[in-house]
Amino acid sequence: MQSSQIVGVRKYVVYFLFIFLSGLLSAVDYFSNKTLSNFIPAQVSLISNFQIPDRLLQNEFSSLSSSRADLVAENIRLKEELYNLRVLYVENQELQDNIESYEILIKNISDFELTYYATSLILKNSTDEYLISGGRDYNFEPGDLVINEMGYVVGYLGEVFNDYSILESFNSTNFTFRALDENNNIFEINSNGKEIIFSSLEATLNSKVGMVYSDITFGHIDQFPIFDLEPYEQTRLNNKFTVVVPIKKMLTFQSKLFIPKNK
Amino acid sequence: MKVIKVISISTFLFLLCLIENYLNTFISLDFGVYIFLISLLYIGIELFNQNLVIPIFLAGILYDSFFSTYYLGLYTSIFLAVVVLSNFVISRYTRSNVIYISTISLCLLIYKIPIILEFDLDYWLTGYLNSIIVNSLIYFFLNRTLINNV
Repeated sequence: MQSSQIVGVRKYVVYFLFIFLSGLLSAVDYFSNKTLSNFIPAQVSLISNFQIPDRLLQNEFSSLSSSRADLVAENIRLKEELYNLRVLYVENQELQDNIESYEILIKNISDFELTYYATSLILKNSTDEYLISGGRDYNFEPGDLVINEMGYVVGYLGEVFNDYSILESFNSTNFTFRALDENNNIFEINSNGKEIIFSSLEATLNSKVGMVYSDITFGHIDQFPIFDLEPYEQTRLNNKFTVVVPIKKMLTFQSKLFIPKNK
Repeated sequence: MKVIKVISISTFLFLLCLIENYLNTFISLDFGVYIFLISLLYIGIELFNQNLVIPIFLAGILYDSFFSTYYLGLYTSIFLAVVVLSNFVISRYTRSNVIYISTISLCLLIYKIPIILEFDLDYWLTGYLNSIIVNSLIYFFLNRTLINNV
């Protein structure tokens, strides 16, 4: 009985050693300011070598089987022709979408001195952060703003790798952001995953809060709108405002995102 | 030969991890399909072996490096802890559906610990409970299929 208990504990020893090793790695990574965790991604361009099929991105699951069945029935020449036409069609659709989203963006932004890099969603990780295309290859840096086609801030880059970045959006665990309202009151923006909490850091005499913006005083590239707080319930305590806004929209593969950078 | 085996298992596990994240990006409902967690549970419950520690460790390191904003080693230790816990529970108690579901619940709790610690209960509780049901069903289905095949 006693020996079987010892065997029971002993079989986990290697696992515990590796858990301890993982803890050590975390500690080293913490003290080296993430040099260790950035080492492998700095050597490898993962996303450039990993292409997600366009059909999947467009959620055309239902048409997959039928189009495949049709293709099998066709002869080889027609197959190739059809395939080429499809590729062109998808490419054309993508370009049209890009033009449309750029047109909408142009209507909604005021600063044309910046370059707006189009980016798109790749996947969502276990902690509800989004991986988006573009990284050091476009000179993106941690903290760069990410805006949607309406010109509104949807988050900022948490980490930047060779060819992809991690977006800290309103519903990610690490989201924290500073912004100004129209009367230059400073707001701290946090998230609890389902709601965004806007808290003013200084006492204000204004009766209501309107639109809040990003600002160069916080290291942001320019002033971009974040949220219009006027329709939401505003709590005032010691002349400090707190506004809670429920998160309704999640990012999807169809979301058009842009990263403004200096030319 | 051993090195090739370790590399293949690590690559397979990392791919499962990637597929899991990709799958959950599509799912907009309040639950997740955690195929990588299920495979870790299967390793812990059915295939527990000290030789699997390095592939799991490597898959965790790759996940931490490429897809996580947390420090290197966090998800690695979570993956290893899931395997150890699932094996510990299963070898301590008589196998039954209740024990399986409890193991899946406990392991899912560990698996989602970064979100659980950061966010309030109302953010993750519904998704967590739904995920237990969905992933338990997947686990039972997988287990039965594999047993029947064997």
